[in-house]
Amino acid sequence: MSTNTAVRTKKSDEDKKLAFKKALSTAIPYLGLLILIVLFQILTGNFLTASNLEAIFDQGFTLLIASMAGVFVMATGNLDFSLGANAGFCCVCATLAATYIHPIASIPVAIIVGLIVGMVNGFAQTVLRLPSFIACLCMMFILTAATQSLITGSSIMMPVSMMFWETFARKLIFGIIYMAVMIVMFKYTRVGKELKTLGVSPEAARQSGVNVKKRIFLAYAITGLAAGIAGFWFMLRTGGAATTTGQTTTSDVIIAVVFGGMSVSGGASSKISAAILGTLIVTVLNNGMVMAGFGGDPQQLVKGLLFLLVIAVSTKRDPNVIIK
Amino acid sequence: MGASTPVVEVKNIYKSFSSTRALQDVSLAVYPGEVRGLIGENGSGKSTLSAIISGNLKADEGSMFLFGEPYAPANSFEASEKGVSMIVQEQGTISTVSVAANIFAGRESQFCKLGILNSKKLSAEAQKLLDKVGVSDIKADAPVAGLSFEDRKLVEIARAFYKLPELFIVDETTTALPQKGRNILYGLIKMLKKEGKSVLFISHDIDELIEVCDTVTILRDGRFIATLEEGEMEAKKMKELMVGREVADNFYRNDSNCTCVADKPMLTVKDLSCGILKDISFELKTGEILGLAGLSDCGIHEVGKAIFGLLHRESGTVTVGDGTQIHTPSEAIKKRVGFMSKNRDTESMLISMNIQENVVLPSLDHLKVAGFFIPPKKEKELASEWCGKLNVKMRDLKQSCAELSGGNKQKIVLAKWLGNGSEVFILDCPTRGIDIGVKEAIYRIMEDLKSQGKSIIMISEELPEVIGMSDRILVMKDGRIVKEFDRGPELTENSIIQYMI
Repeated sequence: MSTNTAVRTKKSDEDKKLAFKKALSTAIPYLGLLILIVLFQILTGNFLTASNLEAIFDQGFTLLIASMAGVFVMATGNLDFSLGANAGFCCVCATLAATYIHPIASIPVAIIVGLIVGMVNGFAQTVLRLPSFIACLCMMFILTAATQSLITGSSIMMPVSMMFWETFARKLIFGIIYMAVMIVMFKYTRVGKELKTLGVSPEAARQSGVNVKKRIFLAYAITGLAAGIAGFWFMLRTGGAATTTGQTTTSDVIIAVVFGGMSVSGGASSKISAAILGTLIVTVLNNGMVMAGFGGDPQQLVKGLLFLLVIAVSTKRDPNVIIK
Repeated sequence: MGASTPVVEVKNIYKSFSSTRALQDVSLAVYPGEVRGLIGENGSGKSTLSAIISGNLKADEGSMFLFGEPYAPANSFEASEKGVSMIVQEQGTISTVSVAANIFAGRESQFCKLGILNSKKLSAEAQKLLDKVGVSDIKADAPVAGLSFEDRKLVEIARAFYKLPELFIVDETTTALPQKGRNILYGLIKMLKKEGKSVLFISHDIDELIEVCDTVTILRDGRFIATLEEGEMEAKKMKELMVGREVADNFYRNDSNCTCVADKPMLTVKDLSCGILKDISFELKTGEILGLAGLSDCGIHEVGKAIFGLLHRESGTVTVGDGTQIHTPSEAIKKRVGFMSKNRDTESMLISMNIQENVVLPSLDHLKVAGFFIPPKKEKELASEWCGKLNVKMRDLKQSCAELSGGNKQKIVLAKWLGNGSEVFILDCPTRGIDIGVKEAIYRIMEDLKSQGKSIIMISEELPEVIGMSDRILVMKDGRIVKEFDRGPELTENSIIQYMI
């Protein structure tokens, strides 16, 4: 009898240890963000000022839109490599629509173009059965080429009348609504819950009644739509479109989501909060490095090294996750 | 026997996996010419022990001796060089290369001249070995990918017999082998015994152990319980030592007649053809347990998958009680049909997700509020209700399914379909690889479902459970239903087997 109790106490001790480990792994992204903020405040002295925080909000806004949608595809264990190119292409289309049709036309054009691109991505994978990687990579090449052929020179301008469209209040309100919709869809509806299961095992998901093709298609459609929205905000922010618009978005989304505590291979660890937290981390990192006087190349180097570190640590944390 | 030096002796072995203690202070000695059985419930540590002896795992504490010399193999290859070879439960062959390459994997150098492999000689040697083991119908230069699961096991056995092993470890291989393969294995064990070599035989099948082994060691919860000598080995006693309490006599159902209630079919399968399956037709009555029996590659498993809509059907229809036809898993689930795959970890559950996520997955539609919103509270209620009813041993609902034992995983799969209100349960090998305690619990759940008027299709390769549980048995051979039996006291394994082979 006495040995029995001993074993049980021992077990609950180990349970506690396990719970602590779990809590720690959830806390790591928050700790990382805190460390970065403190570090940059010490290095620059004026990191935590109202004007810089607003700058961070502006810089991170489009990344937030893109990465929250990116989670939907990443949860399934796939990556949408065409996300940034899609946003860039939508930005071009919106600028052209605003110039040649009507400024208001830029909104539906950006959204519809983005959605169609996403749906084509989904179609290529579910109906034509192309591997995700190939389909999205090809889409990226096609969109980049289209963007470059539509832009004469290195950039085009949107109508001057639209310069005042972008206000802090509008962005804030849109941002809050967008986040609310994405959070509910991912956490509290069938769509989000089922997408997560695809990252674990499509066959097991199918045997539990998940319509695998429909869900994959939907994930790419959502991401495409979000790329369109991001493209529209890109246009307002930069006053038009350039051949480089959206170029770093794809990698920034992947880095942000992983920094936020999600596995690149999706599945059980997928969470929408990873996109929000990760966007904050990446934006703070970008902003802080500029303020601390890092040039473009060292910035990429630091980001790359940190990414490697996070992947190494996060994969060790969960023995069931294998990076594809 | 006691006087001679043991072939292998393990002393005070401890082994833990993160939070679970797999082995605690286990000691064991196997003597020349002895066939030692090793038995215990899932999680009792028998596979861990054999993995340590065969060099696949390292013990945390304790020592091992081979013929009295200290023995600490770095890996399974070193162990087999020293004479300890193991056949594992799961697949252990490389499917992309030939049979011969598999047999001599890691030993190719002897067929090399100046760095070039003489593949003709390799094949010839491999064939000689296959013939010696008694499986000449497997060709050495055939690719392993083309072989059945059973034949692959036989290739592994041949590999282990390249050099006559001093200790041959068989880890639940027989569950994967049909009768022919089993007989080959039994023959080899007898031969080893005659040569003075020894065998460590791990199996779930108590009757098989009694027949094959000289002595049997019983493990429970990672501890040594007892070693029974010849004459002491008795099924009931062994079961009790494994479980740690008395085992009820009515392991299966105790009524011996068909007791299905109405004639109204819950499921009608008509002229179903699909891959190996040819013209499968049957009706599943209300409150019926319908057993599907046959050899593992005769199509019984495909029947379950095809009904549930997982396979592409060439022809035929599957109709549920209200007259609607089902074609896909989602349609089947909507019509309250649930399917438990025989591949528990890869198909019937999402292994790295938590218990709650697994249980509620097919029921998400029922939990919706306002047409789309799924409140976390309702998810939790559903999961805890069914995990409670089925007595799942778990820390909490957020525990990852990967940490559960086989029996508890199987309960989670059942909870999933029960929570979703299923009326028809297709259970493919519901008790495969799970221990007696949980097996019994699953049989009781099946009886309970039956008494509530739900219907079950039980697909199983274990005849005793098919006979013990079914109201009606369909025997299959080569993709066709060849015979139908009704439940009755005079039904025996032999009367069914003759239709299977």
